[in-house]
Amino acid sequence: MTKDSKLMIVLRGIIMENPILILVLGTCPTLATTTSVISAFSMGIAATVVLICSNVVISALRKVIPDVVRIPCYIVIIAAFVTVVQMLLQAYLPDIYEMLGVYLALIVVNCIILGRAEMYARKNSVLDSALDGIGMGIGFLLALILMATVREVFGNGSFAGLAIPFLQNYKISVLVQAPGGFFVYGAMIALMNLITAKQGGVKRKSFSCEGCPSSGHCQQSTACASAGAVKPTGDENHNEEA
Amino acid sequence: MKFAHFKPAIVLCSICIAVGLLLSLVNMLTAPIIQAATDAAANEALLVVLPDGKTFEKITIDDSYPAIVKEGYRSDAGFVFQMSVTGKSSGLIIMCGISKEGKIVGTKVIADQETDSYAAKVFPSVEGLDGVYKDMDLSGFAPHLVAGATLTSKAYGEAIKAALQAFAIANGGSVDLRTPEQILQENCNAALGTTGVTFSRWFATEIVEGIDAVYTAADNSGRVYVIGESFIGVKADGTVVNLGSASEAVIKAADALIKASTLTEITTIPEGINTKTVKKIYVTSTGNYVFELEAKGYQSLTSYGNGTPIKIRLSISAEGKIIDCLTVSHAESKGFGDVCATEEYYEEFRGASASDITVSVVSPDDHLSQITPDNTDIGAISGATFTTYGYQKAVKAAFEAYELLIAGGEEA
Repeated sequence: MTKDSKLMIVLRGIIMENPILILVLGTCPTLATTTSVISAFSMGIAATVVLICSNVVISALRKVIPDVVRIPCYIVIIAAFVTVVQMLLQAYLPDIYEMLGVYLALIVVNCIILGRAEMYARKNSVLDSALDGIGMGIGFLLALILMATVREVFGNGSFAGLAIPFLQNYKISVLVQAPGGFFVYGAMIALMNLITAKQGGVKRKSFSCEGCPSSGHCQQSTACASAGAVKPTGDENHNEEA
Repeated sequence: MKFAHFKPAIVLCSICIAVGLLLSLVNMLTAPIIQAATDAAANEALLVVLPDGKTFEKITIDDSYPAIVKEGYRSDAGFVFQMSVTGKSSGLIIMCGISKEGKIVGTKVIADQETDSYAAKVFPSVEGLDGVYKDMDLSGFAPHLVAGATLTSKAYGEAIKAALQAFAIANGGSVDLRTPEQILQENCNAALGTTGVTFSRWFATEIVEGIDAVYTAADNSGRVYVIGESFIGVKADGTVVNLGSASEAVIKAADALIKASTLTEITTIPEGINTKTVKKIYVTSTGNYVFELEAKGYQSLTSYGNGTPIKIRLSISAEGKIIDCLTVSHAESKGFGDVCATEEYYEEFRGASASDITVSVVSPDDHLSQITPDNTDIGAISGATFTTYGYQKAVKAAFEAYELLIAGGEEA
């Protein structure tokens, strides 16, 4: 495992390992909450808070939690933070709570959070895990806002609920529906691939551990690569869909 | 046993306990705020129907209230009641604000599963602070029925009436919550001095002068004659009870006529009679005819139906006027064609002659609502074109059979 600078840990989550556009994690809430910028922003913040807190706690307890029960422990910890966020939002920001609906509770099973717990927090220090959570959270938030901006501006003729006069007459309604969400998502991934490819970045076409953006943190990457495995075994399903 | 065996369970339990404590702490902090917000939201909903109310106190709704009243709130400006009724679908929840004077202030649909088109026909005219029920009180209550959305509008009216009744009860008054059918059964039992006996309307095969309706007891203990609002009983042995101000001679004459009336089936149906519709014909001892008819309504004429006919019993006097009408069985649509099985519907036909009966539409169309609310034809049901068509045609067929029977001097 290579040691990164603190800044790199944060930046990696934003660009090179962006959870949505590179790792393709958390697709379900991404498609569901990006119909408006406000809901996307709220979901991004809520998930970021849960991600940072769960990363910190899991990292702090990494030497205490036995390997055989690590996943149940992670789920309990993540669920606790999600419930805390839920209760706080219901008490202090009820409109946001109503807007996010069931997707708020579904943060518990968000692949990004469980994925970072499994791939990073359980193997790194508390500070590094916190920085990873911040980076991943910001990456998730920015990708959500970017996608929501495209969908809301062109699909609904508004931005953050404020009507854009000219675009109100030329709405592309399909963009705020599920097919439009997939289309925008696909276009953004293509754009991200283009940008990273020019910089000789992520090898997304390679279907092995070597091509995985998280291979640097994965204990089994070397073994997988040497064995020529097509897919990592056990719990190392890095790119599993949300 | 080594500690390592228990470690996973101990760690997991410890984490769960710590998480439980954390959540308890956060809950202690947020629960009062969430409860206050919930109460404020509920108050806000109550203010929609009773804007002058400042604070609302929940009242206990017990069995003395109409069953459809689910919640009640008292305010310095009046009461708000919440009712749950079934329109086209169940789950129609309506909130109704009533002033201190017992008049409707506003109504609001809280939740519904009604078909959009029915909801659009009913809700705009009844909801809000300017709906048709505004300022209505219990004594002046009249349901606002909307053609083509009968079930929805009827349910809305029931909810409003229940709210007004609940208001009276909440203010210490007493309200008769019995249905018209329950009242009728109780009146009949009281007239005949019986208890718990079921009475059914006697299908009139004779013209009984001076009597509005006749009900017969299911246990054959006697009959009840209705004149205006008076219920007079005649026991099986002919004893008249609860006569009141009615004429005993009239009652006895009516009872004698009914007892003497016999039906004889005409087994040889004359040629020319539409036997697809006219299934059986009877003649009474006084020369009146009774027809058993099968009409094709919505269930028989459309591809959506199950083919069930409307079975009708119709009596026509020797003079050619309808004495009585009864829908024996049917499977017409609830809230639309099922109007054909109501007393109000039968009343339209009573006294009508052949020239009074017209078939409102030449041919019903699946995609058109051809019977409008302003149609005054006998038997026309707005929103039930197929039922109307079938029923009117069947009655017409009965009159045609009657003409042939009269012309042929048919005997039993």
